This record gives sequence, structure tokens and C-alpha cells, in this order.
Amino acid sequence: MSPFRKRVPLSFPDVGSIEGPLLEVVDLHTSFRTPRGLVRAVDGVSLTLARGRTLGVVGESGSGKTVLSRSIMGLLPGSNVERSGTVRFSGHDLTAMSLAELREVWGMQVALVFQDPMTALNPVVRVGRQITESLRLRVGLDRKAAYDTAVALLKSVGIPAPEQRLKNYPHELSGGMRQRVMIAIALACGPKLLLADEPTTGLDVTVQAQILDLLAAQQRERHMGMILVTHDLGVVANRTDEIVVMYAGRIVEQAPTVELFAHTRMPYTEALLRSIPRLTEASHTRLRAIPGRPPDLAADTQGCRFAPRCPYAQDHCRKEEPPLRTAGQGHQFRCWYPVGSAEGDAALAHNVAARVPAALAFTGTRVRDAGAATVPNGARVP
Amino acid sequence: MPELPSQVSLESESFGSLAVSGAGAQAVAARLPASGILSKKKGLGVTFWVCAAWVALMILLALLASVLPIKAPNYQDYSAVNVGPSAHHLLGTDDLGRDLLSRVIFGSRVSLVIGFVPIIVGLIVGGALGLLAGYRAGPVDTVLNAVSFVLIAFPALLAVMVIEAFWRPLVLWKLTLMFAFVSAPLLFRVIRATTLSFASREFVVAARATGAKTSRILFRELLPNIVPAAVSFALIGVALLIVLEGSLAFLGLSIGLPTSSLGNIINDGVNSNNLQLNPYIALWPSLYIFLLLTALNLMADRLRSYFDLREVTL
Repeated sequence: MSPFRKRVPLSFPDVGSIEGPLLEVVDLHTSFRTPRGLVRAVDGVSLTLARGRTLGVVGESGSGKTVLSRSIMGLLPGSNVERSGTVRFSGHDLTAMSLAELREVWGMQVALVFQDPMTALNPVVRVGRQITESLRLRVGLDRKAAYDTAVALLKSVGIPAPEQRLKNYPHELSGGMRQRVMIAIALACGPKLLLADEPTTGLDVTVQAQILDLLAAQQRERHMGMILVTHDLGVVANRTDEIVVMYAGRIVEQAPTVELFAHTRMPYTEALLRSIPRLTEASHTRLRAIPGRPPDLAADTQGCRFAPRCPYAQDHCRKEEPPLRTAGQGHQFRCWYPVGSAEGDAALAHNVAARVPAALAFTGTRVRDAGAATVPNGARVP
Repeated sequence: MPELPSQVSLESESFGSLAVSGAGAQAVAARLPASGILSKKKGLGVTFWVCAAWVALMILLALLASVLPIKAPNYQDYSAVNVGPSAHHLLGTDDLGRDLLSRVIFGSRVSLVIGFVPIIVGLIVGGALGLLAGYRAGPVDTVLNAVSFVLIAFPALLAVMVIEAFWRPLVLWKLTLMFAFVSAPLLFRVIRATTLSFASREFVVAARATGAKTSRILFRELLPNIVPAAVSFALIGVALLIVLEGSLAFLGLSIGLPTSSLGNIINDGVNSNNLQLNPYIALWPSLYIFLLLTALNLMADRLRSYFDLREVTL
């Protein structure tokens, strides 16, 4: 009797013959039933991704990024979860699939690079078996072929002396090496879509950059679609084609990467960008953190979810949630008083004059000399 | 457009030098010393093997007791009552003229069976249930957990005494069964807790995603991770059970006389004036227990630190 479950036949269109986007997520909702009430971790997210493109998903902790990637995969815990919406992947609706069918998708079609390379690998199994396992089972390679593929994979992810490393246990490798092994495992079956869920958490900055470059290189070489989930806009800036900014389970801004940085519309995105420290600044410059905390996802909210922390927020924001508005090519945002618009400048000026703490913190003014503050974007405060 | 942290592009250079192709990679590997960080850890150490040899010797003696050139444990030599160690009686005799070496060796059979067999039974039963409860969670876990709490909440010594009162005569298998009953819930808890910490790790999720059945996940993915913790705890459990048998014997509740057990001999040795007249009776079995327990504890400790990989601090 095989220790593995039976496989189901499931056909996927060939690489070249996919029509339309590789991945199409429509109105995805994922909620968890908890004693505190329904926690809406992903609340109506829609996105599309073409083959060979990279999408960055950005947001702070608890904004629903990880749950989004797990929801796309269908890798959610079995009980107390509600998921609705559709996830279409190269012609198949992943949300309508049985577990047996999903197993054909996982690894072979869609692969996930887990968040923490320190704990994701099995500590008592040699690296070699962890890589070859899926090759032998899923692709059906024999021992020799699987071993050769594993050597080639390790080489391609930049691990020197792969033959020796295959014999190592995970604890004998450094964090960066382990993340490379994880990427090799994810790439083993040649997926068409790679989800990288904060692949650099727990690694030091030097290694982070190496891992991200490696992912980008692999994505180009294999012409995969890739979703890069991170909390660091700096990470996605030159490695993605398009960026989705999430806040409290919702997409608050979505644009091609260059457009997003050049014409930021959403105050939350702006605040994220401003919170990145710059090398040109004098030392001991205060970090421009976003004041307040992300909202409680279990509570029913009215109006814009970012309003309590937003320097631009007006009464209108607190009453009515803004819809996704379009500005320019493929640029969507969720704000009544967008950054860089006349309404936005006026709203900020109004808030500074009214000494709203979020606005004062944003402009870097202390409360007592708020009267003569200059707002970025050039608007003079009366 | 805001500037981005400049580290991003800077560090990608250093990667270039690392991801050298072919020949360079070999050179990097060659430069790693054989005893470097990537080589295997050192062995278990001298202490462990001395202790293991000692335990093995004790087990061997107990197994071969009936073929060893020693007197029968209940043979009474009336010409040598209460004598100290001599050429004739290597460890002396007790107040009834019985050879102490023979009694300790035959007595250790009882103690070793009572120490090891219930733990092995407990590891199999408690371990299997612990793996299942830790992995499955949900109602299975809740029920098994509650049962284990009830069993642990019973004071072991008292429970054994009460059962004994209704289940005479006392023979070895009954004691073994009762001790297994005492140790199984403890082993269950340790194994369940260790399983829990591994069950939610990504490699288990990945195994499920590849279609591995529950049995494969339990035995191939989880069990090897749990063995170190289980073994070191089990060795301490053996020591505890041997002491428990001693305590029961001291209360006159161990295996029925005249069969010797280490506890029985100690009990003999401290009864009436024996301790003043002939301290050897209590000394030898006590020393035996002391040395065996020390060896087991040292082994358990060494195993624990040997398998403690401390991955994250690497």
C-alpha cells in the first residue's frame, strides 16, 4: 500500500497556449470565525497576473498579505474559515477544486516559498531527500534522475558544492542557504506561478538582497508569474512590474511599479514610503513611523479604514468608504482626498490648521508652531 | 519619486562573487576544513559510553543470572550468617545466610523489568496516542488529553497501593502492568507536546500538499523529530520507576517474598537491627540503584544535549 494518496488526472494548458492572464483573482474574501467575531483578513481583493510578470503585495503586519497568498493557494486551515470569490489559474477555478485536484496544482503549477527558512525544513531529513521527494513523487523521476535534477537546482540557486550540501541536514546550513534550498524545493517541479511570502524574513540585509535577486533571476529564466509578498516597499521597488498595497484586508492602491512611485495617490502608500529611512539623512533623524495601529479586523468599520491614522482624513472619510478609483493607466486607489491632488492638499492644510495629531506628525511640526507650517506638496497653511 | 534604500543594489554585488560557477565552487568547497562548521558533530562522548557499558553489563548480569556461577538467591548458608565480604561470599550474606551477590543480581532482574518494560509499553501506547493527538488536534486531542490528566492527577503510589490491596498475590506481570499504566500518560504528554510544536511547521504542510497519508506524516515526518525528546525522557522514567519499586518494597508492597527485588533487599536491610548489625544488606542494593540511576540520568542528559540542534542560533 502506498503511503501517498491516489492522484487524479488533471490537465493544464501548455506554457504557450494560455489565453488571458495566468492568474485571475476576483473578489476574494477570507474570514476567520473567532470568539471575538468574524475576522475579515482578506476583504474583496481582485487582481490579475500575466505569465512572466511579477506582482508585489505590500502592507504592514496584519494587513492580510499572508492570508491572501494562502487563500490563492487554497492552503487555509480546515475549520472556522470562510472563503468566497474565485481564483482562476490558467483556466481552472482553484476555489472549486477538490483536495485531490489541488494536490496536482500545488508544487507542479503553483508553488509557495515559505516565510521562515529556519523552521520550514524538516530538521531530521537530509536536504537531498527534501528536494527529491516531490520530484520522484510528482514528476515521477527515478532516483538517479531526481538526484541529478536536485544537483542542478541547487547549482541554479547559487549553492556551491551542491553534491555535498545534498547530504547535509538543515541545521548544518546557514539561514541564507536554507532559503536557497527552500526556493530550490519550490522550483523543483517547474511551477508556472511562484508565490514568495516574505521570503527574506529572518535573514540579514546582505542575504535578503541576494535572495531577492535570485528569485527575480529565476522568475525571468523560467518565465514564471511571481507574487512577491513583503512589508518593505524598497524590496519590491525594482523587482516587480506591478504593486498592490494592502491595508486591513483590502487593496488600497494598485499600479504599475513606476507609476506607483511617481504618482502615489493613496496617503497610506505615501506614509509607507516616507517611513523608509534614507542614507542621505543626518544620523539620529527620527523615523517617520505611521502613528496608531492597524484597525481591528473583527470590528465593523464605517468609512475608510485608514482614516484614524491618515493625515488627510476628513469627515467624509470617516462616514463613507471610498471605492477603488482609477487614475491613469492601470492605477487604482481608494481615497477621497488623494495625494498630489488639489483636494488632498486642501485636506492636509485643513488638518494642520485644525491641529489634527496625524497631520502634525506627518508634516513634522510641533503643536506650538503649527501655525506657520509648510506642507510638503507646496500648499501654504494659513 | 522618493529614494529607496541604497543597500538593495549594493549587496547584490556580493552575491555575484558567491554564485561562482563550476571551478570556483569547487575551490570554495575545498577550502572548507574537514572539521569546520559543516562537518559532523562530535560523538556522544566518553561519559555516555561508560554509562551505556555499565547499564549493558547490569542487564547482561540479570539476563544470565541463572547460568552464572553464583549461589541460588534463596539458599541459606548457616555457617555464614551476617558475614561481610569474603572469598566465599563476595558481597557477604544477610541475616538468614543468603548470598548477597546472588540476591542483588536476581533482585535486579525484577527492578530492570519493572524499570524498562513499563516504559517501553508506555512509549508504544502513550507515544502512538501522543503523536495522533498532537497532529490531529480537535476532539481526538481533547478527549485523550482529558484522560491523561485524570490518570496523572491520581497519586501513583497511592493508586498502586489501592489496586494491590484488591489484586493479590503480587506477581511481576501485575506490577509491570500497573507501572505501565502510571508511565503511559506521562509519556503521552511529553510526546504530544513535542508533536504539537512540529505539527504546524511548513514541512508538514508541504508533506500534506504532496499527498502524504496521515500514517506517513506521523512516522516519517514527525516521529524522527520526536525520538530524541522521548528517549531522554524515557530514560529518566526508567530511573523513576526503579525508585518507585524501591518505595513500594519498603512499604512491603512490592513483589511477594521470598522472591528478591532490590527494594525487598533494602527493606530487609533496614528492618529490626540489621542496619547496625550488617549494613551490607542495605548497602549493596542501594549502591546498585544509585549507580544504575546515575548512569541512566547521565545518558539521558547527554542524549538531550546531543540532539538539541539549536537551529535558530546557528
